[in-house]
Amino acid sequence: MNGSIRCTRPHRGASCGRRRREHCPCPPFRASRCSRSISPTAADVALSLLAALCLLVGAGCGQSGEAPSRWFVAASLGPVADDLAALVESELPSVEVELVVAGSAQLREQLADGAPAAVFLPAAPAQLDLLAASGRDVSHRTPIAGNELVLAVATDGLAAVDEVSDAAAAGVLVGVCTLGVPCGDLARPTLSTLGISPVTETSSVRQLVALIETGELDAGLVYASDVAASEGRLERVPGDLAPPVETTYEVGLVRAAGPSPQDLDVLDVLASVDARSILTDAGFAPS
Amino acid sequence: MSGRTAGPGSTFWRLVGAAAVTFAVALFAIPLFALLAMASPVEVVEAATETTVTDALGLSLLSSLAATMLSAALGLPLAWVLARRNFPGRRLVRALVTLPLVLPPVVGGAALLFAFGRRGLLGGPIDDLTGLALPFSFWGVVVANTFVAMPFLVLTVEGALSNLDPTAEDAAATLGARPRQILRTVTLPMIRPALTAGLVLTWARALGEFGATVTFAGSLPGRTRTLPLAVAVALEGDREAAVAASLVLVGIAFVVVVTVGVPVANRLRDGSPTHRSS
Repeated sequence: MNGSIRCTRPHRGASCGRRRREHCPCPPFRASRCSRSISPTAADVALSLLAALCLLVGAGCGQSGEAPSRWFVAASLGPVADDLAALVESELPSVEVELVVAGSAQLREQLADGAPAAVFLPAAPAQLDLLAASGRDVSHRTPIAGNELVLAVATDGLAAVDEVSDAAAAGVLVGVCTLGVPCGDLARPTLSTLGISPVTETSSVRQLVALIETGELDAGLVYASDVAASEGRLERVPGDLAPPVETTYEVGLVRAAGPSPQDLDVLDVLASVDARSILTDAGFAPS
Repeated sequence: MSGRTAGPGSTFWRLVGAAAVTFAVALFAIPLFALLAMASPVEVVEAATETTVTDALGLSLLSSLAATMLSAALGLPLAWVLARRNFPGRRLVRALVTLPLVLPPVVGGAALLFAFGRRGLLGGPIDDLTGLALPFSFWGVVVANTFVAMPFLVLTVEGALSNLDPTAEDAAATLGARPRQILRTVTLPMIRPALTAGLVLTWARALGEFGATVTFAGSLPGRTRTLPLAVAVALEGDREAAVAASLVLVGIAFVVVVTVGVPVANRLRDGSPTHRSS
């Protein structure tokens, strides 16, 4: 269901890199050459355990000696995250980007628990505030894009939702992000002004998009960029949401040991004109 | 690996065994302890009495009990047929029943959505005919719970029925008992431990269900957001509520294990007549 969400639990060993890396900080496993004894020594057992662990970690999350630039990226940025990473890697050939795409609140919680990452790109600046309040170092906050919540329907939808107020009609299944997630927080005022009772709440906007695209829901409050990324499967329902609901994407550097020079270079590229044109082409507003 | 010089009784292997046992116990004990240590009792009680938690708890109890009843209504006949009737495709049916035990629940939820969703194989026609839509509804939660939990009941009861010594039932029949009488006075009492265990396991599994529920029934407070779903949501913001809801689940699980699970397990282990072959 989560097409572009590759790893929602990065520090639990799920595969989360764009590329897998085999560099491993663990000592290599050496079979004892001289001893023909069948009984393994405790050191052998320990070594093989280490090697197994090393394989797990190496294959899973690419713990590399030269520390890849790992980004925790809001689900709503998922459709352009690969392009942004490719841009950074082409501008900075020494940098290898690893993407972790999931709901902003979930990512923030993982970062607050110490998940290793260099860059955090949540869908609302409040997530950076909350992360900083939890004690994690957040620096160099830079806005790179904006976005707007819209009412979206599937192009071949079942229910007639021709204007925003139709979403409150009986029998129209509307979905929304859950409270605490940026798209969910943004949606709350609209829900009450329009009198919409959603039938379900999702923890990331991409899950909501998938439910609308597959026709399980008639409509949902998603981002303008999601409609743009849907390749025609979604369309925006005419009419403004009242009050208008806009958000800003701010990059924060969140490496636990403080930002590295490489992180600052990455930030420069993310705030560059080239990055902006990738974002605006994908339906994001300029920051 | 065990060589001539190091048999299972050697000091080395005893140490390895002791380490394994220690790690195994620690693996279960430490997370539980960490959960208990996460919040002060006052805060937890406060959070546990908030409507987000109590609503979810009520919903969880209701849906898991409904799923257990549905499992009993559908699963017991199935268990009986699997144990007592020889028909072509029996192994296939048993494999089908076992599948949800092994399948990741989220896959089960997606499969349910493809079947009973509005655009699903059966969901569309059902919706057109009756206006009944399972996704995002309470009954969606019950169906998801049943899908995941019913195998526990079917397989437990089927096992007990298969291992039942047929002479008691034969004797009752010889003495003139009608089939229903045999079922009530001979068969049911003999499989009671397995039946209880199966029902409890089914209920506990339904109570803890997450993946299939969130995928098939969604997550709306007061309607489909059961306690495990509430924990997942609260983990992204309100840790106290998450801990409180988790502790409620741990408490229920603990009570179940102590009052029902352990006696049943003991009875099964002590060689009750129903399980002579195990």
